[in-house]
Amino acid sequence: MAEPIIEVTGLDAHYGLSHALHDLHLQVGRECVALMGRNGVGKTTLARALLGLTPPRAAGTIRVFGTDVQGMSPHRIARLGVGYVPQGRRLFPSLTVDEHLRLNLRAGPTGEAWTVEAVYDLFPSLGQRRKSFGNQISGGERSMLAIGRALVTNPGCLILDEPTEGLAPSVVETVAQGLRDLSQGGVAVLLIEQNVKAAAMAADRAYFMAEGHIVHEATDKAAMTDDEVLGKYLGVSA
Amino acid sequence: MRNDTPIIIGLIAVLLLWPLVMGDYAVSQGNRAMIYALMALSFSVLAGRLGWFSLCQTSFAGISGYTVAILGVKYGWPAGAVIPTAILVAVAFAVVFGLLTVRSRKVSFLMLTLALGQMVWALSFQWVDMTGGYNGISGIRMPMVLGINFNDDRIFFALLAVVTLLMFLGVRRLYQSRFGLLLLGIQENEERMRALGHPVYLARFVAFVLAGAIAAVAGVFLVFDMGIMSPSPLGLDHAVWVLTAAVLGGYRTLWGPALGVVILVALEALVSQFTDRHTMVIGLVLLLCILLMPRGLAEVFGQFRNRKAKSATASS
Repeated sequence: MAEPIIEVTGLDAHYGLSHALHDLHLQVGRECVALMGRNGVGKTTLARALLGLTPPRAAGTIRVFGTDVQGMSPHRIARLGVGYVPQGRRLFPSLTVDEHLRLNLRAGPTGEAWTVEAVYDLFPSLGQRRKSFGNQISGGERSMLAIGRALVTNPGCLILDEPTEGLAPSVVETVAQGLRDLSQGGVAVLLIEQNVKAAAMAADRAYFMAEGHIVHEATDKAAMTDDEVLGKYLGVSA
Repeated sequence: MRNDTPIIIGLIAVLLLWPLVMGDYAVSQGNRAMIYALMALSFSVLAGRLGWFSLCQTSFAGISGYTVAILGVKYGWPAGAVIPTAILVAVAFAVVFGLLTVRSRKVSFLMLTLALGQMVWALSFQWVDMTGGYNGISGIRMPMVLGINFNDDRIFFALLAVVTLLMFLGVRRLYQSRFGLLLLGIQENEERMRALGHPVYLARFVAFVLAGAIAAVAGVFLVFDMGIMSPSPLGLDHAVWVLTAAVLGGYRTLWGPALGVVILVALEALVSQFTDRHTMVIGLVLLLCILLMPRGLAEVFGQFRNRKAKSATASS
């Protein structure tokens, strides 16, 4: 990990009276890193802080591509080359599959490598639903489209919030493999995940969160699927 | 977008034939319908793409109308200078109003545009030295260009028809463009659009100014059509009339607002022949339409066409 793309140092965040994030330190380079933990431990809060969405009262620094993004508006952060796949996919019902991609197509840190057609090549089933509206496609296709929508911005860094939630195992595999390929192609991927299999397939290492703290760091795949760690922080076994 | 080439061809045919075959009254009503169709289009760009229901689009038409009247009649400017200046003045107001409203949503946007529209209306009858108060400014006439008398209703109709058609085709292009898609996305979820790297406020501001420009063009035709500029077209009743027409026709479609205006104008002309209480009858018709077709006539037709197309493919 030569140059960190995302670098969070001593991040403390409050929402109203609740202290949501405690002294977080986290770095993501050109690799795929999983961020794991149960519901409500602050994973999404962290993602939203990275993206400048509903900025919490926060101390500490967040650097993306070397730029301090605290207090920056979300669209400017996105324009640095940050792609975001929100939880629950969040597509636009009034736009077709094709329009989702055309609207967001732009050159980014990875140049213009990702085109609308390149997304269809990655997810062929999406290519057959070009004219369907965002609310007319299956769960797997929604997930693929949400990822595709982020990819056509040609991001240098991709943040995904539980992209495999509710998907069939075979589709989970497609998505995980896609993320793995992306990170090997030089994109920094931060994957927020509860699905251990998906995380282990896609990511090289993982952070575990509990109650707003990063409580454990697994530095390789074996450590990610360690039964004791999984039992303690996720309540599951590999 | 659905294939609307037949609609465009049909519309061109009607616009070509109307001044040739119809009587004077029908031609003058046609002029009125096109002017208000432009205002309804201006309204629908904001309502249909952004969910912004504006009550000040007629104000922009009023501002450009008053500018024509004041510069043309009081100061004797030539029409060639008056018309572009009038549109620029109205657009300047749209820029200011846009800056004031760009961060507002739904009800707060409606209330802000109501307040701004009422301010312009109040100014129009209180600034008597400039606007002539309730009496307004009369004696506004189209110029003669190359020996063509644009004060003739039928020639005026031809010019207005060309401009109206071009404006609608321009907005059609806009709706199909990435900018049009962006507006739709912003209406659905602006935060998501921000997270995808789109400057939401800038896009909304640009849309607001564009819609203002469309209304400004309508205002120029309005003042030449009436020959007099008075505060009444700036009143709330006119703003509500435009809103009603757009909702009736279907403000989320391109042609819906024009359809709504045509129906309202035709209803007013027809019903007033039979009864003095025509507004009551029209109100009743509107009530039924909105109860039965909350998404407007154009969308009902669209669904009907889709169903026919579907059953055609199913049976083949």
